[in-house]
Amino acid sequence: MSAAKAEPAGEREGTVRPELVLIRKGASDRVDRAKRMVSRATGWPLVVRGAIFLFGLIAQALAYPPQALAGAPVLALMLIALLPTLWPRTGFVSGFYILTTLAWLAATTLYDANASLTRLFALAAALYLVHSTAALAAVLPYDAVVPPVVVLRWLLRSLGTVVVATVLSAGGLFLLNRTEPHTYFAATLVGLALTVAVVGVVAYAVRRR
Amino acid sequence: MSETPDRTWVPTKAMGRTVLLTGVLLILAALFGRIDLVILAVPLAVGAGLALARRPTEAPLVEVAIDDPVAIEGTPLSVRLGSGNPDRVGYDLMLLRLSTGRWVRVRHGDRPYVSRTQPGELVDVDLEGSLRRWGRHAVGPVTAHAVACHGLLVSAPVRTAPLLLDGYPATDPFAADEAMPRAAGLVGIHRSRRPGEGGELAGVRMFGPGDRLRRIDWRVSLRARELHVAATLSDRDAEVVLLLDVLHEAGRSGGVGGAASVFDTTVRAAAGIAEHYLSQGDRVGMLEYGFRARRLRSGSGRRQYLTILQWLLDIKANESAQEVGIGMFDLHLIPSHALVIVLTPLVDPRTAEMLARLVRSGRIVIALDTLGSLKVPLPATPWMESAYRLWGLERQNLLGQLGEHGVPVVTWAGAGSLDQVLRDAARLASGPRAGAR
Repeated sequence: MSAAKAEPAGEREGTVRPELVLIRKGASDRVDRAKRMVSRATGWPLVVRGAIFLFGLIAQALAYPPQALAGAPVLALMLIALLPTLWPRTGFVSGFYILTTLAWLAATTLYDANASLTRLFALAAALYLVHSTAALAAVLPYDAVVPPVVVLRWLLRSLGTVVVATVLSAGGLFLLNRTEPHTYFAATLVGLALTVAVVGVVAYAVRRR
Repeated sequence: MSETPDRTWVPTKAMGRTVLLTGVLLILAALFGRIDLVILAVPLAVGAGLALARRPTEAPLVEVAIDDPVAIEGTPLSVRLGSGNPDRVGYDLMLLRLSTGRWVRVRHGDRPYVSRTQPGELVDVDLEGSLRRWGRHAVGPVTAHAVACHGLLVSAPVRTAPLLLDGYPATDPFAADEAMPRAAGLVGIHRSRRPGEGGELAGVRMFGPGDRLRRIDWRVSLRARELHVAATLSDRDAEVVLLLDVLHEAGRSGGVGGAASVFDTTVRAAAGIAEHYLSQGDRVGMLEYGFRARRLRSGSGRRQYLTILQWLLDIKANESAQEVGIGMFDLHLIPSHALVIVLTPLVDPRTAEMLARLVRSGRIVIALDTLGSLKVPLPATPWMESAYRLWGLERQNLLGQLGEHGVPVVTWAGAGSLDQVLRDAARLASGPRAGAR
């Protein structure tokens, strides 16, 4: 009876140990890889990653209600901003964009936060800069030798896009204000028109493939 | 020249993200009637529109160049990466990656390089490095990606063919002051045992018919009251055959300045010995002791030295349990009058047998031990030390047996390594020989 009990225990020991060894080895491999990456990392790719984090924090500060910007939630927000910073080639960038937009919707509808036009434009600019710097970080290996002019020109071009988009948005809003009280209808029309434009871009992308 | 891919430009993930986010935001805006969501989408749409207004169509150009396709190990090396934009639209950046062989060290060569190329512009990146070991090495390929339209499009990888770099061995310094055991040719610098026109004084003898007047030794002639001439030994050249044992590679090479493997020692020593004898006007030939039995006919001069260096680059280990020599390696390939220097690690009994056969055939043979240090890092097991000691004893036994057969074994130590052995061999060669042919 006792022998019959001892056998499964021995089997369990034999199967668990190799798994533990594998887990430990996997963890140590990851640590070594992280150390190697840190030792090989160059300056400008790090600056680009830092810019993603910074713009991410600014976007969150603008999108979230004031209640979420004090105390423990700040740590969670920093963690969320770290995701696109560390993995700019993944869906974390899109997820960050959508999450921040939802936070903006919640803040302006549920929490009655200040939804001024300036704040909205700043949020749009910050979110676009997260997207743009993530696009640069995605094509820039962390250990690349980068001339500073490449990064600076990229950031300047992104800022130019932000300026053009802000001017267009402000002009569009001005025109919409003149057509009141049909705001809802106009927004729908503009939205549909832009959706058609997006479909055009998608068609272009598909044709390129 | 670079290879052009089939699909030149492809959308990036940022492009997909732009389309997805703009679509989602606009649909939400239309559904909930939120104009602010449209404003959040505008920068994405405007950015994509501005970026895609002008799109590149041509693939980027990339090339790699080295200043000299031949280098000596340990010498500096200059590699130039060139990137070009043949399009009418500028790229945001170009990413260049250089791959090199293990022994071609280029400073920051393992990092990707970013350059920004304007339309019709060529950008060069100069990299400095060094060649760490002899052999045939590849510099390249270089792979390039171009990014355009503010990160929305990326070019398919463009790759160059690798450049081949011949790394000649850094010759170990070698000099042998002693006479060749058998100088046999008609010209050369070694004094032979035969009288003739030369610079080496052999003695003074009576004047005879045919002697040149300028050879008359007037001081001796006045004293002896009869004409005497100074007799000289003729200057002859010699043939040296370097036989390289390529049955086994042993040890771990650390490149120039690091640990030397058996092949490292073999190749560097062979190059040094060949350079020495060729510079003296001797004829040097090469032969492999292995299953390929490569052979280089004897020759002299600078051209032969360069041919030997190229020949040495193709050395590979020919490990097999079969017996060497059936239709491949043959003692008849070695001239009977040649000095045979066998470079061998002496770890295979087949080599010992071959050496014994060479000596029995009457050839002058010197074995150069290329194994070097026996301090090899071994796995720590209880039996390893004993096994290692046993192996060492067996090898000592083998060396002793070779000595009994008349094969001198010398450990390679650069200049002067062979002097004592050559002196002994020359003394032996001057006497009567008995050997089976």
